[in-house]
Amino acid sequence: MSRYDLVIRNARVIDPAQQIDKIADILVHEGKIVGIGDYATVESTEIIDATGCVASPGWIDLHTHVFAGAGLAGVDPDDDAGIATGVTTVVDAGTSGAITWRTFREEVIKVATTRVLAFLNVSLMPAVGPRHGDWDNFSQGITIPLAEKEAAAGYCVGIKVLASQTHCGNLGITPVKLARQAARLSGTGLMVHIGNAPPMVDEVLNLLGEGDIVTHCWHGKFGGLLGRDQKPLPETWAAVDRGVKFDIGHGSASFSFETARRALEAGLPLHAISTDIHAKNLKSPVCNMATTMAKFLHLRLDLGEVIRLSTLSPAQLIHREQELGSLAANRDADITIFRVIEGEFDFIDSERRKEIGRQHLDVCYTIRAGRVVKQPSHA
Amino acid sequence: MAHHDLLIRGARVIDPAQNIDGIHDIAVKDGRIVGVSDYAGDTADRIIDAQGLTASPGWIDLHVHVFDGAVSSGGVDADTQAGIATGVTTVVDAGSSGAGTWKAFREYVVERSQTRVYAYLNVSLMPSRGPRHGSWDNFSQGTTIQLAEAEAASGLCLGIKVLASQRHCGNLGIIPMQLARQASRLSGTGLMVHLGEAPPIIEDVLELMDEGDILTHCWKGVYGGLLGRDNKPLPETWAAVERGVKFDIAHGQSSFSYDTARYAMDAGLPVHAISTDIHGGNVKGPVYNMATTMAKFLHLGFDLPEVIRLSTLSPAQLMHKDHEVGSLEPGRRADITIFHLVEGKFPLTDAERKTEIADRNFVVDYTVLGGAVVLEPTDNEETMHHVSL
Repeated sequence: MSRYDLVIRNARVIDPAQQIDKIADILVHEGKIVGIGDYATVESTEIIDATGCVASPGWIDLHTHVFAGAGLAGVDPDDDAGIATGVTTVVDAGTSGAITWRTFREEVIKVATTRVLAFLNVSLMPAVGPRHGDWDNFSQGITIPLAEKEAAAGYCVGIKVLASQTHCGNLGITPVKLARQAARLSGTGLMVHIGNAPPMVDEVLNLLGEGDIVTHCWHGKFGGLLGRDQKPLPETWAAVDRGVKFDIGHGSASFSFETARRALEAGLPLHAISTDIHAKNLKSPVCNMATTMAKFLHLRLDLGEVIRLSTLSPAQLIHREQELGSLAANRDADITIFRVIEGEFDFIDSERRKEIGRQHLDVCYTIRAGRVVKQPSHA
Repeated sequence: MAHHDLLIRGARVIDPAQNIDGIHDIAVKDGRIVGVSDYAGDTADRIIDAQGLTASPGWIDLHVHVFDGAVSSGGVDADTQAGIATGVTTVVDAGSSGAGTWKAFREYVVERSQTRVYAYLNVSLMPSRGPRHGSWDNFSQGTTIQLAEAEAASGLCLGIKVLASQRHCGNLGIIPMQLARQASRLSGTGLMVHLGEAPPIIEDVLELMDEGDILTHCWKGVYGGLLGRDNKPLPETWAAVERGVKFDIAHGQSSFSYDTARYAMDAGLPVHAISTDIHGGNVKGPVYNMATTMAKFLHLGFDLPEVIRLSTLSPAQLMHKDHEVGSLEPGRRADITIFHLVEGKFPLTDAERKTEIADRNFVVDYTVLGGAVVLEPTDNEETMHHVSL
């Protein structure tokens, strides 16, 4: 009998990609998943007793800021956004444009233990404000080939644009059109931040097609996906029909319990739970991925669905579901082991509204490519 | 037996306007074409033996800059660099001047050049500042529209020019394009639109264009042109073709790509004019002159009569001046270009700095302007660009 590197014993294994939700062991060797099953008798160098815990594919946070740019101070990809919080893959949402990309790639993406992928900001230098506000902050001739090259290298997943007044300044809808052109001509994805108009949300939505991602989808500002009657706009439904995808991107100003409940009642789809974590919301109201996920348990999504929206579904949005977001055999062993704890927890949305939740998620172990990179704090 | 001012004997005459392609004589009297025929028994003050040479209507370059403005590197001389010294009898200035400098342009360039000069009026008052259309106070529709109409009536102005690119539009995005379209419609003149790097986005630009409007730099390389990521025409491109939008080459220093040209030709996209976009920044290469630009189209597989058509009749039609220029019909002003093709290995470089070796090039032998021989074979050695490997 061969000796394996790691066995996780007796966890409730939830892997939406394989439609698994059962008590089982997970066997890991040489950084890869060997399988999910009964491995009570295998010899293993390391054993985690996960009795009473849930084991899921490593969480994917589709919207983070792990670099200084876009007017934001980023957070540490490992200690704040990534492996220390149960997240094995972070997607940076356009903190860097083309000018700072090399630094971002060499000093952050390649250095972090957490897997870092990124949307490239359509502005060359998004750190000045308004971030897309001036014509000379764009060069399609630089941005498009860079996106294509860095996508081929496995780092870039698409183009990011911030379709809001703070970011577009006097340019209105133009940055969105540039971002869409850059995405289409580079053959990469598109993530669009929505916020305060201008540009108008209907005009933004009309430019989006299948697979494009709207982030901050359930923000509580005026001018979101819902109209005055708190029902989805016709343009919202049209976007849904065209296959536009919707990401939470909680952040300091972009998630409202109220909007969420209206959207859920209307049957609007949701494709990713994510934090929009950066230095200004790390302490509150975002905290971390677990807190953001717990808010969705509080909104009565079931645990399996919350896991799906934090693993398989974001992997699909960035077209990486063949590599990420599942515990299938031979995948990189990215695994999050956590407990669902009961109690009374204060959950604060971006409108500074506090609600009391009954369940929270407590991350016990993070496993990144087979290596245990976070242990329980009491261990 | 008749006596003429000028007889061109034994040329291969190509005149697409009259469907002529054969060995003929051309007779000229009082500055006008008498006919294209056999004038063996006739006499003339000047006889050009053109056996082995080709004679076509005087070439028309639909896109030049012969005035300092709009292009940072300055215009070129209308006669010695863009015009008659290079076989071109008619040049069209593509918006080097707006209303603010129009009088100077007219006096110092148009009225002092032998080469026939027509012009598009820049939609910006003073296109020499950068971004050229980038500020609201560089526009006055009240001034521009009236001037375009008056100068169209006087025969000089063909329409309005706008440069729909980031460098020119600055923060104004699609607005200069909308202003140019308005100025064109309200003055009853044409519209020529420069296509460059976004913004504005090509789809928005094309949507504003209609029958007879001219898109210039049509086969530029890199990103945001008429082709999508799959190197096939965008749906908006085909829609523009269907509406009758016209397409001009305007080679320039960054606006002509062999790759784009071949994809466009494969797709069956139309082209309506071969032109240079000659100015101070490209006259020493990669553009050089009209002949070099035309040679690139032979190299791409266009046959000689088609290259001639795209440099004579077709641009004349785009200008709505096909009753004046672009043909050797009897009674026309005698603008004639006489040239021959040489064989060799000619490195021809596109605006993406890609060099291909062409096996033929043009040598201009004579330029005839209004019946006067203004270029002789001995004059042209320095102006033609022929380096054979």
